[in-house]
Amino acid sequence: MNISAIPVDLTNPGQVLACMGFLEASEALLGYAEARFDWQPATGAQFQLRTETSENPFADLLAFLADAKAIAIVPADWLVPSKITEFTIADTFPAPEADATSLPIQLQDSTGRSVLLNHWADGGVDETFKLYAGNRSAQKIANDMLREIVALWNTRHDALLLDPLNVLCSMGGSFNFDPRGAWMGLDVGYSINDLKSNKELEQKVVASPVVELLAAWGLQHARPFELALRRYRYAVWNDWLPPQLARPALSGQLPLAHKRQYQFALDLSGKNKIVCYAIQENTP
Amino acid sequence: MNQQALVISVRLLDDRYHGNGTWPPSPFRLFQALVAAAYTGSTASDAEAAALRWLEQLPPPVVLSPACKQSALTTYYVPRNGADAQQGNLAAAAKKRDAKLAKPWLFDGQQPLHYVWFFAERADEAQTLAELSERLYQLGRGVDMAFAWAEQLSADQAKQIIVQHAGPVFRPTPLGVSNMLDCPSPSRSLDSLLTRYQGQLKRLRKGEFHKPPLPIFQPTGYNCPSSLLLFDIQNQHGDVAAQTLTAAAQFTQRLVELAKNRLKQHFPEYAERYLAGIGANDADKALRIRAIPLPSIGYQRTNPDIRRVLVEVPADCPLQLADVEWAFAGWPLDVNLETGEIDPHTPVLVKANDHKMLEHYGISGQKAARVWHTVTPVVLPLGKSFPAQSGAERVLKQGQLHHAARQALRHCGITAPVQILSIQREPFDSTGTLAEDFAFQRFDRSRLYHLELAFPEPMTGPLVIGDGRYLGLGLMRPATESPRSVMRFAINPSNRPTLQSRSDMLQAVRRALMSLDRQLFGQASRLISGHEADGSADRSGNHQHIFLAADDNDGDGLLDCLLVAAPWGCDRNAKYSNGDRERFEMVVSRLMTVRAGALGIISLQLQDDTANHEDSLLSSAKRWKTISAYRPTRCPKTLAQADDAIRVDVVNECLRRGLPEPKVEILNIHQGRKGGIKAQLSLSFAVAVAGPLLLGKDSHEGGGLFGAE
Repeated sequence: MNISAIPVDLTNPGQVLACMGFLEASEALLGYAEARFDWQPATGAQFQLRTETSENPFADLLAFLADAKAIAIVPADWLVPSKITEFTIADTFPAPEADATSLPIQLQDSTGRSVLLNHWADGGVDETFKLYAGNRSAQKIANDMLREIVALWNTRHDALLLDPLNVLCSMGGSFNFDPRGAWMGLDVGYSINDLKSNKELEQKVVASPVVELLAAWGLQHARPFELALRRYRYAVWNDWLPPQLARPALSGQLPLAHKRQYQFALDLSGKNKIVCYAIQENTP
Repeated sequence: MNQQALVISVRLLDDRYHGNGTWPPSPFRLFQALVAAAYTGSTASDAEAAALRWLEQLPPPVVLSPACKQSALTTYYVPRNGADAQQGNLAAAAKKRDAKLAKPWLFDGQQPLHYVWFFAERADEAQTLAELSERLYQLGRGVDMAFAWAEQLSADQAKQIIVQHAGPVFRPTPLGVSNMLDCPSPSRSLDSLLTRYQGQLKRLRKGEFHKPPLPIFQPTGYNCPSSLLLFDIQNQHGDVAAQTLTAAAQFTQRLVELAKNRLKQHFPEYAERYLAGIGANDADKALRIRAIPLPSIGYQRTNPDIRRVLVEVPADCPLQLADVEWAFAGWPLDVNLETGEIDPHTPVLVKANDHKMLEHYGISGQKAARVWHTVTPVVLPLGKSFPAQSGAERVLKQGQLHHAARQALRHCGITAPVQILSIQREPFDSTGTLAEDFAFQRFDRSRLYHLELAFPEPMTGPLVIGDGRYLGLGLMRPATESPRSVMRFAINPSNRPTLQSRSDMLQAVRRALMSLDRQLFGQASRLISGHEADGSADRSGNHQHIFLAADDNDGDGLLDCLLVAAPWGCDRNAKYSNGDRERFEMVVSRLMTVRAGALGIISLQLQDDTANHEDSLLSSAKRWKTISAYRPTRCPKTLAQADDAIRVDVVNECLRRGLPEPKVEILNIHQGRKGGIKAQLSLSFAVAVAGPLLLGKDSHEGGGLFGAE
């Protein structure tokens, strides 16, 4: 099996969730896959992915994203709002009711390969981990992220392959998983939103579209463990695990000899929840 | 080796600290403050940078802090610095505000914080840091201005400072997983702070906002509580295998012996020292593992046999929790050594899933209690005792027992001024057992006693005291405390208000209580404020909020005592819930200082219940006389009708309060400028009535206060 590795900041919850997303994506698109985190290298922590079919699964997955578009999934007999331009009708729907801002989406590339992303509409769990709010829809956010990934794929191809989670670009609305793109007026000293009205002063916040999209994918079958209101734990593991075991391992619920646990909080910025950097737990 | 210590002392200029996180300010906060001091204006010298790098390599320091409490949450609305976005319109910019939350820690600003690092040899870096400390200018947020000084001492001198420190001492327990303080991370913290500073300078690039990287630090456990393992005692079939209560010590001894033997194969030194106490010195006591057999309690008729075992593993114990669990769990406690057979009735410890039972032993944050009594008797550290026959001998023996009980508490590290309510041979629970029935080998019957204790502050379990605490003897449980309905405070003589300012003072007291109520429960309740949630006055027709009164006992014209009475303390018909009782106790018992505007700051001292029986306001008596004038609940229309009207009004008021009907003697009647009528009265009841007696229209504000004649 081939092993590929990328750098990861273990205190960035978005990056760890994105690693989970890479694992899920590998299994969905490339076949059997295993992954682990290695925090020993002096150069920094790494996320390692092992697959049977691909020499560089990260490159293959990014190529899929660079070629994909997001299509909304709507329930049958549902009056589709005009703002949803591209959609497909599904016989089954994960939530009791459809909401135009949080419809499930399907990522589909030109060869017809498609995957389903719908953790924000999952009616079967208590915690959907939907962090974005307001007028944005999951489909629009995903398409924005895909557009940014295409731009990076075309302009910064090598950097993106070497370090996909740390190639940043300025972004508008996102899923709010990358703490690098999260800000609060009190911390920054002023409100970046207030400057939007003036084109000369406008500031764009930089973050990683790969982290944003892959983190959403990583949450498809796994969640961080909820410790208290807006306070969560996640774990990273050092043993090779397939997605079926990595999912409980991510929440820290799998007893493993070599793991590290981190706690992070969700802060509120207006109605949006934003992810804060995590702190490693003092595990003996 | 000549061990040294670096002691950095910091004093904040104000009596409060606004920094985020828990108390005390973490060592990493201090490290950040030192970095800020070193890099003020320009870059730091090489020597200072080297000293900071040396400091981040040291093990976490001991932190000494003054006692403190957290104030109420306050929200400030601060401008967003958005003048640019408003095209320079400052008036418009000032309207754009963000909510900023502040919940500062309050403490005595005269007391410095001390951070004590220990290291092997005398180091030049410590001297550099001592000089650098004098340039420190803040600790925490921008408003937390501070100054510091430091010195390099021998380890013994530093330990002396720690021993003599009057406030809380925070010691690092690196294996602990709660009570975290952030500490500098070796080889990373200084670099991360410099990188963050550089990132902050360059956060705006080509119209893009780049969030600066965060500092790196290491959360470290400080004074972490012990880990608890709860086991059920079962037989080989999975049924409960209860052990006799009086055999608690024997059972524990066997349990510890078996666990020690298992661990000894893998950790020979640790197993003997920290599990069995063999070769353990005084310093090892805090690290010793304790097996505590838990008798079943909770209901009046519960059979108090031992069905569970609690194993307490201190946070700093060198043995890992998983190893301790392995040593205790799943092993049969009795094996036939000749045949190797295990009797199916042999008990086995099985890890318990249901921890609800621990609440009966006060093992839960919400289950703290002030009064505790023993379930298994305490082995008192007594010498040879003698049978007391004469009265003098009995007094002497009682004195010895009290002294031994205090020694037992001191041995367990309990230094708070504990009130010993009772020392007796008989159990406190109806299903309990006489103390002497627990006699066992070195613990003969003359040293075994049941104890009831009252702590100044609520305590959480597990609480096990006495010489038998490692063998399951001296186990205590929270006792039901009769709730107080009246609290009496002495007013500090340095600032006693005059009789004429009684009303102003009582208003200030109510404000102070409402503030405490808000601080503790988030919002002031009707019980304290006398107002409904919507702000309207409480007009339910019943007495549902507290009564306040103040009195001049010694007749010098100055108020020297304050009474705060719960509604059910002054009205026998008042309905109340357990929540109200707890709230009254929690809020009122915390009253210490009243800021009463022009009257100044009034200090109060909560009096013992024992003093209440001698107080004329709280004792029982048949005849009572007004101290503050009585105002009728229904005002008579003319002064001529006042006499009869007041008599009827007082009688009705007494009946409404659940008191017997008194004979009323009117001593004088006074009519105010606006027609209001007040009277001085004397009441005679057929039976003795317990105080406080607060009657009439303004009885919640100190009017209609009666004293026993």
